[in-house]
Amino acid sequence: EQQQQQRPSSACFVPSKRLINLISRQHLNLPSPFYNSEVQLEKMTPDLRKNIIAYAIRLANDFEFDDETIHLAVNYMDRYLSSIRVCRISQFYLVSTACLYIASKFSEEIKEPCLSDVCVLSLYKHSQKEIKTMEAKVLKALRWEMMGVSPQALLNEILISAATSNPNEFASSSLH
Amino acid sequence: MAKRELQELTSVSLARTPMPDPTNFLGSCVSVSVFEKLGRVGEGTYGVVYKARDTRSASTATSRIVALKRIRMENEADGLPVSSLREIALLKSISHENVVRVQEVCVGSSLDQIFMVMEYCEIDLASLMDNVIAKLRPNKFLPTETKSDFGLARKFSEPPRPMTPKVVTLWYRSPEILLGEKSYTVAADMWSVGCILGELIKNSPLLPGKIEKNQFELISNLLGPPNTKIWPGFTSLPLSSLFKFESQHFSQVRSVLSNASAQAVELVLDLLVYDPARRIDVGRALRHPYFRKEGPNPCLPSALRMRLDESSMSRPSGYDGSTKDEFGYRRRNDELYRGNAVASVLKRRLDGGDPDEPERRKSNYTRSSARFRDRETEELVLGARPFQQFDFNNGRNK
Repeated sequence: EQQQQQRPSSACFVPSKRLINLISRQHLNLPSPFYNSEVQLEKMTPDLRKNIIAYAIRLANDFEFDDETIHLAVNYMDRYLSSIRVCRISQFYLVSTACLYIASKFSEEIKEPCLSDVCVLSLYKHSQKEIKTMEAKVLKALRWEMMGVSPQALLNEILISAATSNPNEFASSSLH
Repeated sequence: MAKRELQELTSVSLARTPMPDPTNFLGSCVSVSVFEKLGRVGEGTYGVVYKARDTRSASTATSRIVALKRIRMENEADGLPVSSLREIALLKSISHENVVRVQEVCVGSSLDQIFMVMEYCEIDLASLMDNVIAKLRPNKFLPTETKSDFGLARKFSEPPRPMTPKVVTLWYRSPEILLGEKSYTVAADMWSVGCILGELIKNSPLLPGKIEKNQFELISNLLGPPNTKIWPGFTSLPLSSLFKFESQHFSQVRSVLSNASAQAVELVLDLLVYDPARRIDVGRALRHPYFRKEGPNPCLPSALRMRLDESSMSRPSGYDGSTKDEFGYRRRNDELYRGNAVASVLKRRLDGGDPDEPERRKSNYTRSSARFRDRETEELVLGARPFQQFDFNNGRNK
């Protein structure tokens, strides 16, 4: 009984079922943290990664994708690069494009793009056939495991839990 | 030094750093050539299913038999179809006895040869399942809160947001989706459940529409056309002006499902309500008198399975006298065999279930015994006496 009385003051909120589910899955489908040195032989410099992701975000903004789609795409890209060595710089961009395409198919409900649009908006860097082939390669490398828990999804869920589990307490604690 | 820092960063929750398996850098997907094709099991809108043997194991005696489902790649312009992608991803992430396991995905020599390797179920399971259960596969369910285990739930929170149109097999598509509602809810699934329950009772599809227009005609023939009194606001749906509604009919459900009990018809009628807001939800459906007041009662899967194991031992070997009717249903002359076919479905499918649905499913299929024509078969498969009452509130037998 004492514990029950203390609980409201010590715990900020009761985690929702979804939040617990997300936390239990967050260690699944992660890329290797050492893929740059071990798989890509230091080809993936921080600048290059920054550029590639900036490119992916630009592409995603053109399609008005959800942020979650971008997170997924980056997760796919890192996981692909954790297992398969890429030789040319342009190939990195191709991987990124294909990953964004897959992520949009998987998580965008009504805005899934058609391949020709992706081609156009990527300024014809890659042909449709290249993207399609890369799509298949990425899916193979990912072993078709497409679930990923992004930090943003976790944060969203934490905020939702906090807001819905005890609105009064949440409001008062955020005020002070 | 950099490595150590990284390790500290990544070991927040589990105190370990996930590493890729170094032995499996390239060959994540096996080639389809490791499977020896044994025969064709079925074909549908979703693709072709083959029975195959895994040749990777040493002897043929121990090799596993699998079902290979080839993904249909009709519109190859956009690469892999969205529905297949989601189906594979979801089925791979679900590990549940109630759901067909996708063990792996294998590929052929060309891009469009993608196969899902699934556990092989008995032939009648395939036909029964394909016709009844598989059409409502997870990729066609709305992953909503009831499906929180599927890892997608985070996406579909309140408020309802627009979702992919043209989901669900046409036969099971709810009227609001047919009329172009974009922010449909979990109630659309309940409509599908109603169609399937009706199909189980009728033993043929309830609303086998060929195209959207035809589908809506069938619905309005069965239930009577919608009006603003029973479905306020349906006229504001995008496509409602495209459909012409016939003059007044009465609901035909009772005459169509004439062999069903009154409670069963009640439940079907509750599920097939035009207005999604008034359609019965999962919780109320589970508390429906259909599951309580009529025997045989729902039971725990373990009790069911024990009975089924006993019954399958007495099955005549080598019997195959099946014919297919117009809908591809396999009809058996032998009631005993049919009983076992249902038994195998029950055994595979009804064990457990996702958190909010198992009771309903178990109950539905337990009730499918109503289709056994003679009492002997029913006793053989489901036991002579009604099973123990399943306590919905506590999840255990009384």
